[in-house]
Amino acid sequence: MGKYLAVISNSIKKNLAYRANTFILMISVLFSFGVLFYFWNSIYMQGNKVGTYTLSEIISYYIFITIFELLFTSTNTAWSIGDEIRNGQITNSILKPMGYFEYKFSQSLGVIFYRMMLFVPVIALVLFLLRNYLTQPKDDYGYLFFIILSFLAFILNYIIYYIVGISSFWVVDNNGFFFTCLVVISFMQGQWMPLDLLPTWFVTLGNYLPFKYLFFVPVGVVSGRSAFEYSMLIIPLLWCVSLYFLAKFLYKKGIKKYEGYGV
Amino acid sequence: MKSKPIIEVKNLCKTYEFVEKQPGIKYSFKNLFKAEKKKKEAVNDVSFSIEEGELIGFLGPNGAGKTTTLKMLSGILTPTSGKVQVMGYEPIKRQKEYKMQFAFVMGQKMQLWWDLPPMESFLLNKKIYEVSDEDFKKNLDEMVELLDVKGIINKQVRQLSLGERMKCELIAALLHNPKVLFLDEPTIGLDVVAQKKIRDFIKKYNKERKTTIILTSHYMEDIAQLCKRIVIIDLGKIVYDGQLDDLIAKYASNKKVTIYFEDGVTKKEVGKFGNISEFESLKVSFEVPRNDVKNMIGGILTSDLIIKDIEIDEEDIESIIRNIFTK
Repeated sequence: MGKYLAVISNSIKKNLAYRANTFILMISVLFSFGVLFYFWNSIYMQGNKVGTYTLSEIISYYIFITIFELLFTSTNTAWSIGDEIRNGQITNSILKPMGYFEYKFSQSLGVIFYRMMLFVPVIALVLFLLRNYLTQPKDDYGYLFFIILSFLAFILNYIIYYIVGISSFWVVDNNGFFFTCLVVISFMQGQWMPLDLLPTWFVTLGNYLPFKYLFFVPVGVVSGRSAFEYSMLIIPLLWCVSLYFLAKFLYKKGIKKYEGYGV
Repeated sequence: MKSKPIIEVKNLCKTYEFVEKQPGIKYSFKNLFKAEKKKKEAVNDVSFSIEEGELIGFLGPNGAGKTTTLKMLSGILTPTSGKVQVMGYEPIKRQKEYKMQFAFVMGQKMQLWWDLPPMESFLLNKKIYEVSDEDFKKNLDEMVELLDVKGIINKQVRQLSLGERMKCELIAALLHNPKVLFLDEPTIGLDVVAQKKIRDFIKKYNKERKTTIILTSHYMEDIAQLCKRIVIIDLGKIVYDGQLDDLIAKYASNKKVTIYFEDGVTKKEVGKFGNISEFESLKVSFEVPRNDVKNMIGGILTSDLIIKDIEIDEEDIESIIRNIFTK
């Protein structure tokens, strides 16, 4: 257990090593929130509307989506796994008494903690400044549910990007493949537009996939757009479990293939 | 009672299957329907055993099968057939207990975290391998002293020179005091001073800790300084398994002397100085018996020919092995 804590700690330190980045990042995050607000504000002020969303609802939606994007995504996991497979670094991980899945998860946790240290002040400032535009959860314990859902979302997110990264065992040009995955996943998790504004057939399709639980569902709960249901806990949990086994299975198969060329 | 060897390899084979790609549309079409699978026998019936505490050199030309063999010994690669036993474990099973006593340093594949000081990677390994505080401090201090890296272990790895990085890689690999250590090209790309430091370190470490070490290297000097016994692998088979001294006496009798001339020379002019192995009018390489090198160079320097530069190299493994086959 101590070894995974050490990985988390090293991961945080590694990100901290780039201090110049930090300041610029914080400014740009503030900026992107600002752009978001003014953009949607001006759209609505001109009398336009996005589906059934009020101004507050749409602003709340994108604010929380951006928060998720900043704090809870592990896309870097996919890239770093891809790199390690391509340049053979993963061989070192095979030889160490540490699970690869668990190792990358700890690294990812380190990145998340680092991002939280960085962005929570900025986010708190933004939430305060825009407090009049933010909508509330429908439920009494809405914020608590939100935290639990976010936690699940983070884990699910990690497993999905782990699987994307593992695909590098088979896909040679993983840049193209990764980008495609990233684009599809970010769309299907509601990053670009609220999923409930999409055509019905698309929404039905999305119900059979895990992606909406990554962003859309938790954001829906905290912004009051949807009421909390227990299925929102159970379904992503089931996805986590089944994808976890898929991840382990694919890793085993991938290592077998890796032996054939990359080692 | 004779103790059981710490490493035992019996009839080890590794065959790769690959699809032969031939140029031309006709073949691409053919491959669509029936891909012709060809076999490459990378390791072909290799057997040897190693006692605890031995420091062995694995030699062989590129593609000979030595790295493949090492990979099967470490558990990275699954053998096609044959038996491998290291410390009583089957490496491919990748059991935790096996990994805890084993280390593999690969020249080009770093385990140190690039953006952090080596010390952070050391501490991480301490946790991974469950090294006690005392052992960690003792091992670390000793190795840092031997390799003279005290000032750099707190500098970011990306700011270190290749030699410094390699030294830290070694430390990281040995913090948990493994019983078995594989070193794949540990001195590649390093300057002479760093090479020597690392060689001395490996020698001392092996002597004091009785760590079983297998070393591969393209530098004859590494092997010469460190290994009493060497195993030569070529074309997937063991060509020689025995004492290095015997091998040197028999085969590595020459050094390669390369002379760069200011003006062009003819074969006739330089032929008298020794056996020419490579010839260009401004650069000539000779194969000179070890004991004659001094005289030969003296002879060239005192001649009328204007010398621009002289290089003296070890006869490389390739030519030694070639000698083994031609003699």
